[in-house]
Amino acid sequence: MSPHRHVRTRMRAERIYALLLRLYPRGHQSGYGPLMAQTFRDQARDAVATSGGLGLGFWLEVLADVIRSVWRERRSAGEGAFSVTWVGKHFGVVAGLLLGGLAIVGIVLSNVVFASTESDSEYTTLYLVGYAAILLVFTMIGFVASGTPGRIRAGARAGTAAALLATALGLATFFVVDNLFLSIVSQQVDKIQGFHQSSFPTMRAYVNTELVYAVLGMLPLAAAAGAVCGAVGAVARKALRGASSAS
Amino acid sequence: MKTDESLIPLTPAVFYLLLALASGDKHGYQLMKQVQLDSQSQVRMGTGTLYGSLKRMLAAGLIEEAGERPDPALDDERRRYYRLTDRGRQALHAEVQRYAHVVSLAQHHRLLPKLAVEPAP
Repeated sequence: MSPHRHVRTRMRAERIYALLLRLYPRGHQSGYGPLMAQTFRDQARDAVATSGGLGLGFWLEVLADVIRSVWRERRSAGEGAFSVTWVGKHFGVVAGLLLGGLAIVGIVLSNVVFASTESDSEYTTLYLVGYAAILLVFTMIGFVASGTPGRIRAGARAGTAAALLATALGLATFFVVDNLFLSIVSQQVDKIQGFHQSSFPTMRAYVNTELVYAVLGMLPLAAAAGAVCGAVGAVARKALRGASSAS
Repeated sequence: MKTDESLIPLTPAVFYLLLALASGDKHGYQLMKQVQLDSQSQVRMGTGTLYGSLKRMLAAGLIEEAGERPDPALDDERRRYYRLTDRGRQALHAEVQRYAHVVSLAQHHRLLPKLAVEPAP
């Protein structure tokens, strides 16, 4: 590796480490951030000089150290890696990831493991109940994230984050499942009918184009629904607090 | 030598950091390498773990920041050097005594042969 590439590799690594430093509590960052960056610079310089680059082993060690020490520093700073304060601040993101995880499991089970060839129209009522439940969950997320004062913006923000993350994870799963298990997915009645009515040359082209439309349509719709539901949750909390303090 | 009993036993990280500083003031990366060398790579300390330990050792009064640099002309002035305090030296001494006692017990129970002590590298 040329000296020029060595420098580039090190600079890229330092930029990545600077981002990882942001995971530490603020007090620790301001007291030790520059020293940690300097020590990492020394470590990366030596690793590049001896091994010619920064391989997977180097980064795995760095990541393991960051995870362990971030956890410890946040706990000792009273923030807790997953403490109430942290979760409260990032409640929308945490809830979105949990919902997304559920969506992934649900999509894989219903489309691959227990694949059904029946049309979606057979389950209209079930879908409507499901969507209503999801909107209710976004409302509850806004309720919790708005905090004791019932901050409407915080509620709307958490609802938006949760809805966007859950939808994005769900759509990403559809993309993977539809492409990896096309032979199973293409047995669905709705897909067969849609494909025959379309002008696409292959089922894969049809499925992927539909997914692109879904991404373009559903992400803004999910963000709007999440924001509205989250704000409603925050308003509900504010109203409840007002009612309880009046009585 | 008197020491604070609550500090003993030391964690491996704190023990090796104190041991590394016993031979002179060092900055973060020098400490990291010395710990790896002294522990024969049994204790590998990443940057995050190192500074977390140093922070707690500073708070416990085991180490302090060194005002002067060993060689200012050759060094980056942003580096911070650390040195042992009297308390840190006492804690290290007490821990080494504890290890010595364990070794003598192990030898007494024939768990360990009499060792010829090798000089440090």
